[in-house]
Amino acid sequence: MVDQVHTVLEHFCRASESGDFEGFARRCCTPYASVRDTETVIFKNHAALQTLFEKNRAAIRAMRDMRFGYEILAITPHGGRLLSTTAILSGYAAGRLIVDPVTLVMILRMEEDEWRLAAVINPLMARVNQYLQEQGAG
Amino acid sequence: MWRVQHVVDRAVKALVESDFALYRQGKDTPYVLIHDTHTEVLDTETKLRSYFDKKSKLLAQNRDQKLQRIVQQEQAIGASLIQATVLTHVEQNGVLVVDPFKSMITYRLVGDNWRAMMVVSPVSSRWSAYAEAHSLEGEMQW
Repeated sequence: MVDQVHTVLEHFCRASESGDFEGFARRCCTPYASVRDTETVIFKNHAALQTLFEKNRAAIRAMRDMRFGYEILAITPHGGRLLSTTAILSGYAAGRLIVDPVTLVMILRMEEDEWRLAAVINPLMARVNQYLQEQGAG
Repeated sequence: MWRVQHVVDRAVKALVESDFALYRQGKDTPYVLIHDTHTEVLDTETKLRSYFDKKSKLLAQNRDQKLQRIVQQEQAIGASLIQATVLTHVEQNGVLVVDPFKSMITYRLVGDNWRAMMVVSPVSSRWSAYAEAHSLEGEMQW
């Protein structure tokens, strides 16, 4: 199971960095829920995911082509088709840490024989928004 | 004492007493329910009320059953989010009606209050199965 969760996160992060929307969308359930420290946002369909993806791409570019690093801390199954994983996510650019490691929780569901992200619990948005505003990219 | 136990207690009290205003104090919309087959989003007051009414009615049909929800674990996710593991017991005359089951609930700090935002609860939760087997109206999705 650890390997499978790694695969999901690897696809998710690398697709976000490279601009591969289809690769990103394949790993998301719809609706996809983002429970943030500031609000809860629901992405109901493919088009909404694309808007999210493009917004993230702009932010990643504004953060000097940031790359993601992650480390899985825990995986907890909830029945056979749901699991939650706690991971530390960081952002790097030009070999420097630009987003401090943050703990995220991701909820994955088994769909069509692969794990997909159903929701993320993200405590970072207030900091990201502040950073983007400081960079003039908010 | 866990930080969200009182929020859980209040929600149980609200359901038992059919007090939607009390229930609403501990919930926010959109309220997200992650099931093992799909995700349900309660993004309006009407949907949240309908969800509450179903659960409250199910409890009202079984007045002699005692519902207990106990926070087993809290994980802080940043300063304003908590993920709690909640164990549910349903007893009747001192005997468990179904085996205890766990749900995972995410809370956000809104002002001075923790509010539930999302629950992860497999459809196969035992009380749902019990309700179905006994032809009780409504689904017991926590």
